[in-house]
Amino acid sequence: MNGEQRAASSEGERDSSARRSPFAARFNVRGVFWRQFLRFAVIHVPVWIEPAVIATWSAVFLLWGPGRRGVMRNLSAIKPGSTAIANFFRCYRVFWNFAWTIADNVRFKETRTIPDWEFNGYQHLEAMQASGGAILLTAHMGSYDLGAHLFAETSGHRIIMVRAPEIDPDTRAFEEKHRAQELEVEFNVKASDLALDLLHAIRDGGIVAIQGDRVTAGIAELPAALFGKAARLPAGPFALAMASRAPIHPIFIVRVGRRRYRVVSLPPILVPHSRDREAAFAAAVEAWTRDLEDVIRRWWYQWFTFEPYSAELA
Amino acid sequence: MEIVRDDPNARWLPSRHRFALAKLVARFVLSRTEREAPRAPGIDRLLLAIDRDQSALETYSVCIWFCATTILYIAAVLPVPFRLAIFLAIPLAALAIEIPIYLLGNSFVLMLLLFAASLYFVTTSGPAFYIALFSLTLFVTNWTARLVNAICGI
Repeated sequence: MNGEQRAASSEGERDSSARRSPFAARFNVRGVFWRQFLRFAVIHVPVWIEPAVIATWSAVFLLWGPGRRGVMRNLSAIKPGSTAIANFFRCYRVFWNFAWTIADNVRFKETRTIPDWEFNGYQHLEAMQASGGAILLTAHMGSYDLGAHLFAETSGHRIIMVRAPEIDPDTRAFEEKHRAQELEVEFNVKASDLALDLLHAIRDGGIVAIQGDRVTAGIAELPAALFGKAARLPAGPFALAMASRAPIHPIFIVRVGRRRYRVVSLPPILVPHSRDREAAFAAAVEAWTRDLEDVIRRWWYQWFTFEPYSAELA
Repeated sequence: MEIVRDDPNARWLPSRHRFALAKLVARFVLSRTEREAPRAPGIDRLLLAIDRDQSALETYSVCIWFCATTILYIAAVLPVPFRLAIFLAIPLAALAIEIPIYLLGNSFVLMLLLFAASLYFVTTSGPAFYIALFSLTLFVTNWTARLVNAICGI
């Protein structure tokens, strides 16, 4: 699927969401009802009964066919030779971890409760914090918001998170209202919209955090191979690294237990300023996909990608 | 929020536990740990948050006890053979636990309901009697632990 097709598919999703009555759209899997319900549950459910509540709702969300099939197809590529029944149960584990992660994230926003943190590869994290301006490249794993808050607290740098906007307008408004105040969030809707702002932010010593495992509609992309399947990854972080001459720091936030997260920092990826841009990008993308594969292979139950990551898996 | 840096033993701080019995056990374990506990392999730094709901062991233990007890109590009142009743009681228990949460949303109310159910089932015969006895023992032990904690300043 190329960028235009993906854009058309996303537009189709928006259209179908708009066709539903506003009341029905609230209960869509990406609708605002579930965000409100999660917030209510995090505030009101006794903490010691949370595992049972999360186990139940994770099972209920297995009824979400497209999400379940997306995860199972991705798992079939991550774990070659795995059976559908095994991947069904693995899918439950992905949903279970996702539920915990979003619950921890809401708890942090509402009550400022933070989890325990473990650091792996701390020297790379220190190098990022010591550098004047950097790109933090991560994946849809663990809690992106909690991680960004941790970096904002410990590094003293300005953190700018780049993410795709919510499809549902009510959900988008809800998330905007309830996001952590100290984090700056930029929504990546068009390839060229943010580039200059982000470049200035890096040159001013800020850290730009981008999720580099998925491309959304309208975003410039680069070809890659992930678990032996053709995939498209966002070109933005690599172009930004080349333009700003800042290193890319692959950092993953992994949930390793109840209210316990691990920050896995890997050696930085450099994108040299070169006449042969294609070759420089290809080398950087290869280094990034190698890191991404290693982390996803180890923590497959933490990769919250609910659509097939490759057209070959669709 | 308070944070302890690079001290794995801080996991056992009583202030990271909610229930009196768990606080008392944590205090006992903490008193028996090595002064300099090694960090887990591959972990360079560690930040432990001080919050009374931070203990996974405590949370999962209480949750399993509460759910298993509720399942057995529901199975005990179902008019079907016990093995089938256990099977049917699992989804019913999920509802029985969640409905009071969304209506009353209170830890105290949930525990009070279980305590009342235990008082009832301890007067019956069959497996529910033993579970009720165990649950009431836990309640009494927790109250005793609360008293000990208050006296010892834990």
